[in-house]
Amino acid sequence: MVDDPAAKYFGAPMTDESLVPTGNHTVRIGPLSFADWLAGDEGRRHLA
Amino acid sequence: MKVVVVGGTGQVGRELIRVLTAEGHEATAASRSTGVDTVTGEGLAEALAGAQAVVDVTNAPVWGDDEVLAFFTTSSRNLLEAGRAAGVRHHIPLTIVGADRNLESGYQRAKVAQENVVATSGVPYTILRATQFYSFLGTIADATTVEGVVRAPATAFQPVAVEDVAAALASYAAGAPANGIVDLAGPEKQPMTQFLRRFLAATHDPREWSTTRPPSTSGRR
Repeated sequence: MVDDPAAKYFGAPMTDESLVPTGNHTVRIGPLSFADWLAGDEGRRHLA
Repeated sequence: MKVVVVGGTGQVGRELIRVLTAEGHEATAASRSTGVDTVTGEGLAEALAGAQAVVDVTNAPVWGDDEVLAFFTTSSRNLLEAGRAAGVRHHIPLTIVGADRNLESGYQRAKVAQENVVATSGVPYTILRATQFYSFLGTIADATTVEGVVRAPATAFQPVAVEDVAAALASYAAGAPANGIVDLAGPEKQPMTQFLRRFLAATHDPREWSTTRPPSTSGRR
């Protein structure tokens, strides 16, 4: 494991607030979990 | 009601048209493959005739920072102008959660510029910002792989299903404009690396791991 705070995500440096809602706007949560997505048709298509 | 889905032949667009149609709406796809070019304006007037709402889920066909910026701003201006002429009452672009916090990314700068074009257009709008899609995890893994090792940051991550993005877009298309931004995320928040590990385990991917931890932002906002 390497601790590299300078690592970027598609050219942008990351913090723990970079990619998730922070409450600045109305937040809506989609109900489909990752496990259910993996087990569903769409997930299986991507895993094929 | 008639809803035009710009970029309607892509992953999100196809699902959105399926949802809208199932709900009884007249949903049509507008894309270059259907004769609509949002950059030149070709075919826009015909495609938007009679539409009450326009949902823009286009992806840029180019990757250079300047080209992506030009694409999203020009495309949005043309769509809004054609929509105004056609009497469209609601414009709904799909953008990215946190885009305004990731301005070192040329793509996300372009999405923020797109949002600004929409918000200042005078056309009623709802901007839906979604987190990364579950189906994008493989692309993230590939983009962060160096010499066979995945070097992904352990930043907080809350991806969402395309099906839920389409359902949200459909509900906004059928509803009143928020004239603001809505963030859409999935139900679980974990480090990006956890999602990638689960995705690659499910695909039996043998790549090795190197985890990086983002700096804390406590007290910075």
